[in-house]
Amino acid sequence: MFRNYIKIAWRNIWKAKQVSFVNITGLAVAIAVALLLCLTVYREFTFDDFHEKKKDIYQVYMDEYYPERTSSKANMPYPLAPALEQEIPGIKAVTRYANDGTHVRVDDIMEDVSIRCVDSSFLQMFTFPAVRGQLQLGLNDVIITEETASHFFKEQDPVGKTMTLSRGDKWESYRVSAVLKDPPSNSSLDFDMLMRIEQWAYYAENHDEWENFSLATFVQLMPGVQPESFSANAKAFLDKHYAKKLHNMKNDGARPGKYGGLMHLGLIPLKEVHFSKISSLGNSNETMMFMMFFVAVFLLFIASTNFINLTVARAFTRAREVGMRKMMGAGKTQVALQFCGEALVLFFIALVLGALLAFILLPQYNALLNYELSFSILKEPKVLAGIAGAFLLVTLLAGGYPALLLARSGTLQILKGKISTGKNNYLRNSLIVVQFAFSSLLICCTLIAWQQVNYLRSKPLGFNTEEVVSVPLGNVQQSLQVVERMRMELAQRPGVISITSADNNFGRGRDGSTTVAKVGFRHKDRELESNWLNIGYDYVKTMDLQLTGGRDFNRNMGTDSSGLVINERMAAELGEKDIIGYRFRFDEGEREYHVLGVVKDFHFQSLHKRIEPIIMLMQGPPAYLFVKVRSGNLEASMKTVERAWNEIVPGAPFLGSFVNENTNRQYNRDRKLSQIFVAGAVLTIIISCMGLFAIAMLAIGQRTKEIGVRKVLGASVLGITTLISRDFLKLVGVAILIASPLAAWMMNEWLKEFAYRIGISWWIFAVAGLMAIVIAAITISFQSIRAALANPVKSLRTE
Amino acid sequence: MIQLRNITKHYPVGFGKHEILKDVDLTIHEGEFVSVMGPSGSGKSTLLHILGLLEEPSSGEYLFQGELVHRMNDKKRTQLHRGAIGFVFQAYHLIDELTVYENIETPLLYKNMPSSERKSKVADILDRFNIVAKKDLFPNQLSGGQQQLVGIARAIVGEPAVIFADEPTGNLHSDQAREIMELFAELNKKDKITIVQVTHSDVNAAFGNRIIRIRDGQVL
Repeated sequence: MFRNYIKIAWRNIWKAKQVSFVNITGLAVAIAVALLLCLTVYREFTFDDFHEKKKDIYQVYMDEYYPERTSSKANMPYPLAPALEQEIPGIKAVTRYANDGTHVRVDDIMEDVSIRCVDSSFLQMFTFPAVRGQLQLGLNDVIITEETASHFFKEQDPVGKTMTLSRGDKWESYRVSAVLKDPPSNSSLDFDMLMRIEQWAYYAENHDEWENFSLATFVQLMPGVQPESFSANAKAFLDKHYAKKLHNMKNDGARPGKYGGLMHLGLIPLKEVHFSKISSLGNSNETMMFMMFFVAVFLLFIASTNFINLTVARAFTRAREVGMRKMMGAGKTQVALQFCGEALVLFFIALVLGALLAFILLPQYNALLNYELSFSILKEPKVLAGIAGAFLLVTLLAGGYPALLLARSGTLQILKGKISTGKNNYLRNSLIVVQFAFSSLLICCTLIAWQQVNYLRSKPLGFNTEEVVSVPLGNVQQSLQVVERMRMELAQRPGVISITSADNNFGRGRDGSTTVAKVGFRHKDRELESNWLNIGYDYVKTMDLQLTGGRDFNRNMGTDSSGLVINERMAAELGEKDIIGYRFRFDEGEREYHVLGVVKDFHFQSLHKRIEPIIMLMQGPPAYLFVKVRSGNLEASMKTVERAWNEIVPGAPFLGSFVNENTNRQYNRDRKLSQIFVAGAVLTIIISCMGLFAIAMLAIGQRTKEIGVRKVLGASVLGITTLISRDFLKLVGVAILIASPLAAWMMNEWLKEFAYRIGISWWIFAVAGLMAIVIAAITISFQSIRAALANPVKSLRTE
Repeated sequence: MIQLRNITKHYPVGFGKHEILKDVDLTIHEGEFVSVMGPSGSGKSTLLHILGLLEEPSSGEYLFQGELVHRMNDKKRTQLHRGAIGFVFQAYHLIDELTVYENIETPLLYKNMPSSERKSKVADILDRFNIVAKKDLFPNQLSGGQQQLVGIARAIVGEPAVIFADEPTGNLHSDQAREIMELFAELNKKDKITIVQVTHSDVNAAFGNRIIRIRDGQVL
């Protein structure tokens, strides 16, 4: 019996080649894309899943409710972790986690290594099993990963051996106590080497400083303890350690936040850290994942819709067969089963093709979206079960409806070729409307996202982005001297205009790192906050900032070391009339600073954010070198800078890039999103049109006689083409009407993420609608013109 | 075997109704070969459909093998279609996607017959109808007469008690028609299958042993 079904299924698929082709191609493409998207979503949502104690581990974050803003941060002060462990009940373990990195030497091998400084409890809380050695981290120990071990020690056993690390200006030796398995690719915590937090460069001066917020802090609660009880207990804790700050906040008019305090200590579950907007370890975007998942579901839905529509439409031609079968004693279930079987065969072919396609596309997909997806995920039984489940569900839904329809109709009626598919094809029409609603929705989204990304790219940022090379200094020692030597070296070269340095980059450079430094201080009974940037001489000139008053730092003025250059926002916050030369202190009894100059506001952060106050001063070592070059031969200028770099710091990698490359990199995520929109829109349109093409073919097939009669009566080709197309285009029109407001709402939500954004104008919807109509019209016209041109004698003879 | 009592059938047309069968009383015994004759629109096809459980009468009683048909549920009717009733159509109604062999095999599949038994039954029928050579052909590769032969083979492979034939020779020329009618007569005599056929032709009707004439929905 079953073989018989499969056989018929196969012959039917073969017989209706055009329709099957549409069905299988559409489904295969949809499955391929859905598979890739769903695997991505799965990977992102299973981040940090491998930790055995993941249910009890949380990252600590802090909210402060100021009168005009709420500040949230997940970087905690140094003494907070040990204090938490002692003062708050229900905590099993605590660890701090700080980013570090330095040169490491073993014999004659020297390399840069990324280090995480942690407390010793880190190894007990998180699941990073040891391959060799004991999971113990002494004060002068380091723990390395397998990969690091193979770099430095090749085949030898590293446990007990010594590694020499560059610390500040000297070299220090550490003993390797264990080798860990490499952290999996879906781990938020990624490192080459672990060492004790006490060894961190800034630990000594900050270990009891409650106002320096810089360490990610994780707690492991006792089993059964709720994070709410932690937060409740933390209230007294905050009152104790931040008494003065709370007092000041109250005086400023701060009101308690939603948790009832001016400050709040909360917990982010480890599973949510990856998506957290507060945690610096969170680098994924939940919205984008949901978008991806929706696009996947859309595509599958649209391809299945084609399947349903085509199967129902073809039921007319197959009615006789079903009638005959029923007459020979086929039960309803048997007929239904047969049609489900056909759907199964077809879907299975599509699944295999789709999986194959996904496999072929995977490298390009990874490259496009910068993911490390691999098909090994498919080995997980959960994923396999998910795919099998989705496959059966879609098959059952898409195959089941037509099957039921045929099985239910009366034997005699279908034998006579009459099948009721609902009055006026309501189902078919509404499915077409839904398809095209999705298509126009995605067209609108694509247009708007594209406009916004373009806007971001072309908006003037208030500083020179095109002619300035930014060079990360990385772990170079004595960076100030390096900058000076670069300055001397490059000053002679033609094509170089000026040179400066700073401790922060614009956007995201090729070193991939970005920092935010802020300072908070009281000024005339107001709590102010400002970004904090250490710069070198000629910063204003090199970056083409515009001074609205005062001057830049000057080598010849000895007092400039306590000078500040601020932006207009900061000047407004300070609220002084004579801002140039204004003197103030950040902390009572500390050094007095004076304002040297005010620059016009510039977008030192991404356009997601409004321009914030910034204070620039000359203190501390630089981390980035900026070289302004003459426009013209930019490539050659870049070469010049690179040559100078290689002469002065031989061996250190040159990661220079133009500033506009860096600033554009800030919008990678937005660009990715718009790429997903574009790809989704193109695919949905293609698949929808394939369906429309086939539906038009079948619909015209049913109206052959009518068309023939009309032609005999003198209808023109144009008249007949419009007659046929009108019905379908009406549906597309309805779809556009449904999609437009939805798109407007969705994209408005998305645009809210940007402080600087385009307005959505009505013509977008007009263009999107026109595009949908034109594409649909072209698709249908292939069929309708052919039908209109056909000789009526032929079409009438078939009756 | 078949008993009709006061069977009427009408369709609603506008505010009134269109009567197709009026008070039909009819008995057909086992082993009979009955020909239903009458002009177009007289209701003979509707009568056959009611007899074949494809349509419900508007009123009246129908006993099939002593059982009241309107009391039967869907399952029971399907059972009868599988076992007791065979159909032959003017337009053959073979399944285009199946070969001759598979077309004949299909009713047996619905009876859940084991594979070996199925094979021997189909082989017997193919042999008997002299169409062994054609068993792997598709219906559109056969002539009309051959298609109807397959249609009849399919109708009797399930060993039904009665065959309903709706103008079985309507699409055939006279030589083929005669062969088909001879086959029906043989099935009736040798296999004791009750046959009810609708026909226009007196020649065909002569093969049977009773003629029921029908006009304007009434049996004359």
